[in-house]
Parts: sequence; structure tokens; C-alpha cells
Amino acid sequence: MTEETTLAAPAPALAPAEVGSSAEPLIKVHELRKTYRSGWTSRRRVEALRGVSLEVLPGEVFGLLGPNGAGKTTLIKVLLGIVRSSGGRASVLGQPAGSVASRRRIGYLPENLRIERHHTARSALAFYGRLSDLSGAALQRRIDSLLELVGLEGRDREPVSRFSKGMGQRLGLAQALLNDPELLILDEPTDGLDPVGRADVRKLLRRLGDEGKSVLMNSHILQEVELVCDRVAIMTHGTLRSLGRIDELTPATPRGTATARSSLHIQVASEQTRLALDALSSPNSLSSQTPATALQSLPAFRPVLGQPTRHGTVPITLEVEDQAATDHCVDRLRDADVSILRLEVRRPSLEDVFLEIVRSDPEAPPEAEIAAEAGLTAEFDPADAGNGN
Amino acid sequence: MRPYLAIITDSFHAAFASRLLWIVLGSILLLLAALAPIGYHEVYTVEFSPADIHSSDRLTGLLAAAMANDRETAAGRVAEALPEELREEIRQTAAGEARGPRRGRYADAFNALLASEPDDSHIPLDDPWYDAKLWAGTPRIGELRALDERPAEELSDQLRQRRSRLRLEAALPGAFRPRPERSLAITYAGLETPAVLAVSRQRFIDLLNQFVFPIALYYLLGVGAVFVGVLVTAPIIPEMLQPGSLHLLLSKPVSRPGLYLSKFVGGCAFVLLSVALLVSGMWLITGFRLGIWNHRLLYCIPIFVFLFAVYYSVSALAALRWRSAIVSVVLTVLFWFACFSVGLTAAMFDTLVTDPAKVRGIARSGDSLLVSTASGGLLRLAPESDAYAPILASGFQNPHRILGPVELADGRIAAARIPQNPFNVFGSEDVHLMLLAESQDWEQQVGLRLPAGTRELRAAADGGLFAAGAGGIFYASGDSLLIPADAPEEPPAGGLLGGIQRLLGETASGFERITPPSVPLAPPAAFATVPGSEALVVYSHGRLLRLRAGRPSAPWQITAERDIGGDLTLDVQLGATAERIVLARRGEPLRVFTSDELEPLGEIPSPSSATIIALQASPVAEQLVAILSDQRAALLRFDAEPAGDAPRLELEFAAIPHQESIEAVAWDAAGTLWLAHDVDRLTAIKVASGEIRSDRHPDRDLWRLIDAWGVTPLRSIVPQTGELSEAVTAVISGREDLEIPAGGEVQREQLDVTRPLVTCGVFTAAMLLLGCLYIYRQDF
Repeated sequence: MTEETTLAAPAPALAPAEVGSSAEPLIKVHELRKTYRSGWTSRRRVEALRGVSLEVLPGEVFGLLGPNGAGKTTLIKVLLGIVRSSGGRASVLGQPAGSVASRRRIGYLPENLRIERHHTARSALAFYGRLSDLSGAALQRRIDSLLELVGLEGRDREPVSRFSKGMGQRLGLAQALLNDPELLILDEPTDGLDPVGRADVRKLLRRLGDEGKSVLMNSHILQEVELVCDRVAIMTHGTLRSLGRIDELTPATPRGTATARSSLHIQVASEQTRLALDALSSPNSLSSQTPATALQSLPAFRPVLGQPTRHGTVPITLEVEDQAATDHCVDRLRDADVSILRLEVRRPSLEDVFLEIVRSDPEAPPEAEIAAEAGLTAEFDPADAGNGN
Repeated sequence: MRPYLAIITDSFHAAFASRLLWIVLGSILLLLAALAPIGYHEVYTVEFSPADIHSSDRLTGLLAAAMANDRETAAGRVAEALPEELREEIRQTAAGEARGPRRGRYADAFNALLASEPDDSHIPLDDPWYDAKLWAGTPRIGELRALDERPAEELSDQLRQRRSRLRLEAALPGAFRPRPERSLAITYAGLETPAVLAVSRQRFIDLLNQFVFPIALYYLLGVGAVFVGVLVTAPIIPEMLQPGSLHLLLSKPVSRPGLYLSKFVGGCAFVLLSVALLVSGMWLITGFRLGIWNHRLLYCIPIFVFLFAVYYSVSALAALRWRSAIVSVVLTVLFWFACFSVGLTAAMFDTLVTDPAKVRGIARSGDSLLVSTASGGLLRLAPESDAYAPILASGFQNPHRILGPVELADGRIAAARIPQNPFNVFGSEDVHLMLLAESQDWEQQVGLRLPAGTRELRAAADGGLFAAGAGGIFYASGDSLLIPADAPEEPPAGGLLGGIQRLLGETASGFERITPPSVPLAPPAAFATVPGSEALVVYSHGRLLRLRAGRPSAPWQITAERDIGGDLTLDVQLGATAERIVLARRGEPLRVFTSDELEPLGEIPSPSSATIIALQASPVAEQLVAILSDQRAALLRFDAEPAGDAPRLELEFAAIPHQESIEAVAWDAAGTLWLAHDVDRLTAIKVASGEIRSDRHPDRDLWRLIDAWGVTPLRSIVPQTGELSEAVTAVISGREDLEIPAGGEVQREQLDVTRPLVTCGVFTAAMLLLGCLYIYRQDF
């Protein structure tokens, strides 16, 4: 496995070898910048993108993560030509980003999709189909198949004004697929969907990925991203903070600066608790067989003692950076004749990584605000973020 | 193109989904349903209305004269049949003891003569007051002669009443306005209404096309539908700009300007549907119910949609910039107010500054040019001067009308100034002729008192002057025109005879009536002098007459006569060269006759879009200029035609410069054509060669300069949406001028079609361009 995960900003454009590094990227972004100016004299400036570089390859489902104001939507808007970049380069499907030719091959689901109230699902799809230059029987057949695909068959004659948020989102997905796009850009595709709907969308996205379509997806629901995306880019304040495969973003010792570490959960007998804590806390507790050089390099673990269980055992938790540290822990305990009743290594989730990255941003707002901006309040308790799942 | 058509089509779907649209469409259908039962049917014009009486003074004079006359006359028989109270009042009026019966009393009295009682079902076979012998000497029109020849038993009650009316009109020539043979009785749902319009069917159509349709449609659609449309469509662009909607649209393979323009065009759907329903509904109703299939009515649909587009272009741009429906409505209303203010200012400048300065008459005396203006001014332009010098000042506060100026054979200029009376333009006040001469340093010299009701002055070949009015044509010799300074004040004629002469406008001593009593000149009538002869041609009540001087102090002799027939109510113009007479009746081809025997020579098509309002013949050549109501002028050249041959001519517009800005024309004695154009500029051309002999651009006063350099550019920049009503009128009527009856004459208003279309079109295009640039450059 190659090492693409990075926290440096600006980040180099990297592509995963497994997806196919030799394939021509569908999206190529290099040093992309966007500065919004506002006010009558354009004096107020907001740097929404500060030199973002990334690539999305054919067939991959790519997730774009970041708190509000990170620049994700701006990046999507630049790719669609909704806003113009202030610098750098961006191309989509081999065409300049935003060009009519590239938009012809893109399907887009915007956040907070609004479909005019006079439409039914069928008339809306017909309208958006004609906007994509489709017509006739082919369009009608396509509409029929998409209505079935998103589960709106039988309700296609109802006014959209009667639709729930989830039905509207399904309709939005259908319209994004109307022109059989090579690239799908989805902004919060599961927003408003119930768990079944989310599962359906996940299934659909995976199926599209299997069909070779590329998906660029922006979502606040990190679990969704974790389940669906091949690769993820995490952005904060207009910079790309991390990019890589899900399983590369979450290892115990990712390369680069601080990320969430793996945690080691050990259970020992109650009477050996003191012995275990001493062995883990003191580097001198190792036996004489341990080389002197190794002794000096041993980390100082900070074990956290849990509540004794009714089975007469005590849980001890400590953070470890890598497998060597785990090995050292085990060695120390065994040298001190501590019997390890249970040992488990827990790796950090995507949420752990996301929050770690966001917190490490020098311009990051307070933690509660991060969580709120990231939309995690309902999905994720920040108080538990450090404990892993 | 398909994506943009999809956006436009979708706008129609959105419009149809609007509840407000259905409310508006329902209201329109209710209105159309209310209008649909209106109908009409033609009836003979029988009853007199007060407006039918052209001059109550003349009518009183005729009746009083008949009552005082021992000899039995037709007028005397009519007078005898009138109620005794009315006869007494007529007598008292002639004696100067009363002001004269009102028109309404006369109308009631004459209507009583048409039938024994208004509710009497039995109409007598013949009028008790009628005597065929007495009526034989009256000017009976062809219709009356035909009715008199038919046995009374064959005539319906209505026709017998019609015959009675015509007999009354013949007995009292010049007292009544000619009315069409048939009037229109308005019905509603098959039921008769009291409304009977004494207009011909063609005039009825003209009234509908020139006034009813334009005004009704402008207020219903140009104001009502446009305002509702602005309110309804204001949210379209802001809703499109909502992120969830706009981002999706922008992600589609469509161009931003195309998207904006498609939304704009689609936004017009609401107004298009409303306008199309109302206009096509009115078109169908007027077609099926009134038999008027005026397809030009349908052209109003794009005009009103265009008018809405002007406002919507502002609304859409404001919505694009501020993304708020409320802001766009407020700004659109402010824009409307700006258009209204500029239009009002421009209209005030037209009324108070430009129109009063327009030249109405030109005369040349030596090197000086005298012009009369629309506001009643008489001005002189000296050869060395760049400015008009007022002989008679004019002004808005001083409404007068100038007769003339007329160049007399001896070089003097004759003119007269009549105080304007909004209800009777030519009034009955004492008006004296005014004589001006270079030798007298253009000092006003008081001339003879003009016959009452004089409408026109023309120079006679012998140095005399003709004065024409409702009482007929009067003549005064050149040497009698001026009242000597030491002449004693002439006492007014007294007694009954004096009163009658006064009422008949025959008291002006020095002027003698030359037309026989059987030739009234109540409008529409016209006369022209025949150059190189002492002859006149007169059109009166459908007859064309040639008159020649007879014995001194006696009416001239009718040497030729031709019955033109047709609609006697049509406005008429007459022009005479030495060999040809040209007659132009409104809406009919020009008729050409020989000047001696009045033999028809042929017809020349007249323009359909405008009316000929004057014919001016050259005094020295077989050339004649027709002035049109749309400020154009055309030349008729008979020089190349052998005399007596049928003319194979057309109106030559190219021969005369300054088309569409011509105010007046006149020939001088040398045969040079003088044109007044662009308000008060004067140009002299030699028609034969096209050579411009003189081009005078007099200085303008301060207000005219402000108008030229301030108001006119402003009205060219700010779209003149108000003036689009003129375009509507022009489109519906197919004419570029509006004829407004006022005070016994017709005022013509030029309809400006091009300027509002251009200013509105350019403005809308500029607004749309700005919108396209904005949406193209803007980040969303």
C-alpha cells in the first residue's frame, strides 16, 4: 500500500494506487484559489480556497469533508462553473472546469435542492432532462427507470409541493442521473433521508461506483462517507488538510503531524493493578534483558485506570502510536509478571480523525463550534470523540 | 436551443399554476361575457339632436327671414309649423330682444314635425307643412329627390320620417350639419337601448378603432395587466437565484445569459396569456357581434407584451442585483414614475412650447415672409433677420386663431384674428380684417368687418378677397378692404331686418355674398379659386359647383354642377389649377375634374394611413400640393398630362423635402413653393427643378432651446412608455394621426409610433444587456 495520506497544506495531488494511478483523473485541481470580495469597494475579502490540489480518478467515490466554511462547496462550485476561481487550475473530464462541455457530462445534486412547486416528479425530470438537451421517448424511458431507481414510481404525478424532504432528495438524485453522467457531484445526498433511504442511497452510490462512474460527494454525515467513499479529502479554512483512503486516514500511526492514535485496552486481575500501572508508567520497570538504548527510547505511557469489573478485573486504557509501542506495553507487563487477561487495540474512526484534524487547525474555532459546524451535534457527541468507538 | 425553450415553456407551466393568473383570466372572461351581448343595427337617421344644428344663429336668421317674408317659401312653411312660443322667441331674437332659442328647443320642435306626436304610431303619408312646389327651389340632396319621387305608400314609416327630416334640412340650408343616411342603434342582448349614434358605420368603426379600443385596451392591459404582471413576475428571478435552484440550473449545459434571457421571456408568459385572452376575445366579439373583423387588433398583443417587457427588464435587473422581489417591485414603480415624469414634462413642452410655435399659414410679400402660428400669432421674418418679429403676439394665455395670412394681388397681406372659443371656434364676434403692407412698415391697418362665422380667406385674382363661412362665400374688392381712418363709425343695421342680417352674417358692409342661398357652406364644405379666371369651385352637401361672377351685387352664377353623392359627412378638401379641380374626401380616392365643366377625369389613390388635410394649387402651373395629416406633403403634377386626359398620376412624395415634419405649405405669386417645416423653419423650392431657393432657420427662444437640448434628449433616453398608447392607436386604426372633433372643427394629432418603440426597445435591450453581463460575471 502506498502512503498518500497527508496533512500538509497545500497538499500535492495524490491518487490511490488501487484505484488506478495510471488512469486519467476525471477531476484535476491544482493550487486552486478563490477569494470572495464583498462590500461596495470590494475591500472585504474572504479566502475560501487557499491553493487546493487534488485529483479524482474514474470509478472512485470521493468524499469531501470539512466544517462549514472549509471551502468544500466553493470547490464544487468552481468545478461546476458556478463561481470562478481566483487562481490555480481546475479541469473536469478533460475540459476546463465550468465549461458547457464538462457540465454536459456531470450530474449534480445541490444541497437544499429547490424544485418549483408547480412541478410533479415526472414534469420536473422532463424539465431538467430538456435542460440537459434530452428529449423524446428516450427521455421518457430514462425518467421511468430513474423513478423506479429512486423509489418514486407511482408518485410521479404528485406535485412536488407535497413531497417530504426525503422524497425531494430522491427526486434530486434522479435528476442528477438523468443525463447518465460520467461524474456525479453530490452535495449532502443523504440529507433528509431516513435510515432506509440512506441505505438505499449508499447502495446506489456503490452501484454507480461499480459501474465505473465517479462520484464526488460532500457530506456532513461522516459515517456515510466512511461507508461509501473510496477516498476522502478533509478541508479546513480553504486548505486541504488530509487526503487518502479511509483505512489510511484512520491507522494508529498515520504519517505526518498529529492525528488520533490507536488506543490499547488491557484487562488485568485486580490484585495486579498496582504492578501493571508501575510497569507501564516507569521506564525503569523493564527487565535487564532490555537493551539500554531501547530503555532510553521507551515512551512514557499514561495509563488510565477504569472501574473494576464484577469479574475481579480492572481495565487499563492507554494510547499507543504504533505496533512497536503496543509490543513495549506487552513486554513491560510481562516483565513485571502481570498477567494480561484481555488485550484489545482500537483504531480511531473517521470522525476521530476528522475532529483531530480540525482541532489541529491553527485557525480552528472552539471545539463545540467545530462540532456544531461539522453537523455532528445530532450524529455525534463531541464528549465521546476522544474515546473512540 | 432546446434547453432555453424548456425554460420558456416551464415559465408558461408556472404561470398556469398561478392562482392569480386564473383570477385575472376569470376577470377577463367575465368582462368579455359582459361585452359580448353588445350589438347594433342600422336605422335611418331621423331625429334631430342639438348637435345636428350647425349654427343656431343662422337657423334663427333663416326662420326669422322666412317669417318676415311675404312671399311663401319652404322655410316659411317650416316656420309656420313651429310652436307659437318658439316663433315668438325667434321674432324677439331677430329684434334683438332675446338671445335666441337654444339648440335643444329647435331639435325638439323639428322632431315634433317629423311625426304628430313622438309616441304616435301613425306616421302621416305626407308632411302637413310640405309643399312640393316650394321645395322645388331648395337644395335637395339626391337622397331626398329619390324619396320624393317614390309614392308615399311605398315608404315605410321610418323612410317617411327620414324624408321629412331631409325636407327640413333642404328648407333651411346651412343650418344643419350633414348627418349620414343611416345611424347606428345600439342593442344589448337583443334589446334596444336609448343609444342611437348618428354616425355612419364607417365612422363608427373609426371611432372604435381610434378611441374606444385604444383607450380601453391601454388602461386594461397597458396599466392594469402590466401592473399585475409586475407584481406577479417580480419573484421569478429572485426564486431562480435561490441557491438550491440556481446552482442546479447553472450546473446544466446552458449559458448564463441564455438562462437569464429565457427566464425573462418566460416571465412575459403571464402578461402574454392575459393580453392574448382579452385582445382575441375583443377581436372575436367585434367580429361576430359588430361585424368588424379588424385583424390589426391582434397586433396589440405583442405591443402590450413589449410594454410589459420594458418594465420587466427593470424588475428583472433589480431582482438580479438585490435578489428581492420587493426591491424589484419598488424600483419598477420608481422607474414607472420616472417615465411618467419625463413623459409629462415632454407633453407640457409640446403643449406650451412647441405646438404653439408651429406655423399654420405662410404668405410672402416682397422679401418678407409672414406666418401665422398655431397659438394665434402673426409673425414676420424680414430678409436680413434671423428671428421672427411679432406683428401679433401669441401666447398660451391669449388663445386666438389667425385667418390667413393671404397675399393679395397688390402685395398687401390680409389676415384676421379670431378669439378662440372652445365650443365654437369661429364664433360670431365682430372680427375686422387686418391689412399689412411693407410700404406701411407692417403697421396693422384695420379693414372691413368680416362676415360672421368666417372660416377662410382667399385672395381673388382681381385684387379682392373672398371670405367664406357657414353663411356662404363673400367677396370684397381690393380697394374697399381698407376702412379709411377718417371714415365715420358705421352704425349697426337696426330693426328686424338688421337683426336678421346680423344672424345670417350678412351685415359686414363691403362684403357681398356671392353664393346663392341654395349653396350653404356648413361643414364639411370647401371652396377654391380657379387661377387665371374669376371663377370659384365650391363643394357643398355632396355637390361640386363652379361659380362665375354675374351681375354686380348679385349672387354668382352656377355654371357647372356635379353631384358627388356618397357620404355627405366626410371631410373634404378642394384644390383648383387653371384646368383641373381636385377633390379629396376623407378615406376616398382623389377625384379629378375639368375646371370648366367639372367633367370627371379620373381618380388617384390616396394614402390609407393618413388624411389629406389641405390642397394647395400653384397659381401659375398645373401643379398642386396635398398636405397629409402625418405631416407629409405630396406633389401632383399635371404639366405632362394633356388637358382633358384621364390622369395617370400618383402622389409624388419625393419631390418635396422635409417629409414627416411639414407644418404648412403655400405657393407665392411666382409659383415658388414655400414649406414650413420642423415647427417654424421655412424652405422655398422651385418644384420643377427641385432647386431650394431659400432655407430659413429662425432663432429659437429660450424655452425652445431647453426643449431641443434638454427635454428632447431626455425623452429619447427615457423610454416613453406612455407614448406606446399612440402606437396602439396607430396599430389598431392603421393610421398615424388622430382626429379629435373640437369646437366644430377637427383637430389632428400626429401619432408618434417610432419614437416610443425605439426608446423602449433600446432601453429594454440595454437593461437586458446589463442583466446578461451581471449574471455572466457574478459568482453565485
